[in-house]
Amino acid sequence: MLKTVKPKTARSKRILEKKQPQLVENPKTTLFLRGQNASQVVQLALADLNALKRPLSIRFTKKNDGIHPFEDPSSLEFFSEKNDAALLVFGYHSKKRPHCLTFIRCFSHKVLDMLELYIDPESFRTLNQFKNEKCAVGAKPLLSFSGTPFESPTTNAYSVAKSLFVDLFRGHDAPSIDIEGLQYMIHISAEEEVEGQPAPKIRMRVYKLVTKRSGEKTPLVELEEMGPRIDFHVGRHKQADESIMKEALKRPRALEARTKKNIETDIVGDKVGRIHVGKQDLTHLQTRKMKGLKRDRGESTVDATDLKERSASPPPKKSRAET
Amino acid sequence: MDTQSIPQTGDASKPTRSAAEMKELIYPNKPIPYTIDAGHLLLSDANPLPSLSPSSIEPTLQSAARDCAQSLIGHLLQNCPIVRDDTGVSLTLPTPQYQLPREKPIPKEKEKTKWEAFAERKGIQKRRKDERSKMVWDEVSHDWVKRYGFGGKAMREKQLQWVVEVDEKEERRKVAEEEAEKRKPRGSGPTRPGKAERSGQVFKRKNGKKG
Repeated sequence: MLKTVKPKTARSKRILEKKQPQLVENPKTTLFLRGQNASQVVQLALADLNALKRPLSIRFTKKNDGIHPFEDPSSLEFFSEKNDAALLVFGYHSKKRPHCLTFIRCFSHKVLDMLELYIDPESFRTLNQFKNEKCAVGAKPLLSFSGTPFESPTTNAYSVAKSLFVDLFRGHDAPSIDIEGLQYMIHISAEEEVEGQPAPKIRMRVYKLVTKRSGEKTPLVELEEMGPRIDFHVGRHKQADESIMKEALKRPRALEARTKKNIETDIVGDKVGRIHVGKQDLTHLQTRKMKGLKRDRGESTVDATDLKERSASPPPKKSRAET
Repeated sequence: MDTQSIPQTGDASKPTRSAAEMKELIYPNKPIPYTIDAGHLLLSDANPLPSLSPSSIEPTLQSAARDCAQSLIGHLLQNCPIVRDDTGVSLTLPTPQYQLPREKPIPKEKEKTKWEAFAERKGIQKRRKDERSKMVWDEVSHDWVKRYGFGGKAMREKQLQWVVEVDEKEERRKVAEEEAEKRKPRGSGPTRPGKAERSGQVFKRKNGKKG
């Protein structure tokens, strides 16, 4: 735990303010770390993932001893807080866990969920092994997940993997994207789960998109593998605590779009507004003024019997008018 | 790990496709339709992958990925409003549907100070500082000048007035005052000696009316 410091200068105050919880959050920073023992494969994989993640990433290349994410995540939490990084990728290698990458996601600098994936060294290919043009730095990738394991209704390693990979690669939450920016796709797939056989591998492929005119409205899309190519064996995973996950998934109410009352769009597409006015008071309605309708000064009410009597004698109003 | 580089297969060798094949390529048809979240540019394909033999892994994955990419691009171009401007063509993306956890909790609303609570109750609105600052821009001198005070904008404007309308009320008052002054009997009030007298340049009458 870092001790809380009171900012002394305006600059440090601004920096600390940026680290505070925000209503609209900045894109998550990813921190790439390596352990005391990290094989060549792990190091290359970390470098390549970092290359895909730039500029929303920090990569540390020094050895970090004694980090065991599943046993004691405190040092990872420290790194997360110190670097304001919500996602961490920790790579190490041991006999028990060969070529291991641990994907860690934090919520307010505490570990939310974790997934351990072991790289298959046989099929691993780096970014540079593919001799072709790479995508621009910081481009937002298309993401696709193929295979039934990712669609499981209960939380398992694959659904955690999907959530983590989407979080890792989505980049900026852009309200609009330039068509030129759709440059590459990360395709993650897993085969069917079969009883009695080891859990299916998660295969990550990165392709560059090549669009061609097709004669139709949509262009023909072709793919060219760009690298890295990584096959993962699934290792341990830690699911998020339900109550913390609920807290983390909350949407701020301030950002919710208010429903506009009484404004509708009809079938033609015209915007129609409805206005409510109070009930009109008709008792004081001014109608056409006529002499005959004027009320008498003396009497407040006139009924039928009065009228009969009046017909005998001339009405008092008229006589007043004559005088 | 194989450290050899992988050559790219050129597209030139590909045979030309018939119209039906082309249609199939552009609009891939799957038993389980894709679910697309355009906000994240995310596509989920729930169709099981065909079984992969070591030699067929890459082509199978690539064709599955191509169908995904094709559908996603097609979906984006059809369903997202396209905006054309000087910088290029851009797609307006909807808000993402696939929920991801936040990085930090929602910020707590700051507790209102006593004054803020009072001001809200009374409907007092805070004036921004720049709304009415001490300095204002002067178009004539192209400089920031004080709003009021010596050399201020108000003073400058007063000086710039080359014709001033007569204030009738004020004029009448002045005339009336003068007349009242004239009507006053001489020496009724305490009189001050004139400037010349004070300086002693004028000789006083030696024998006045007294004598």
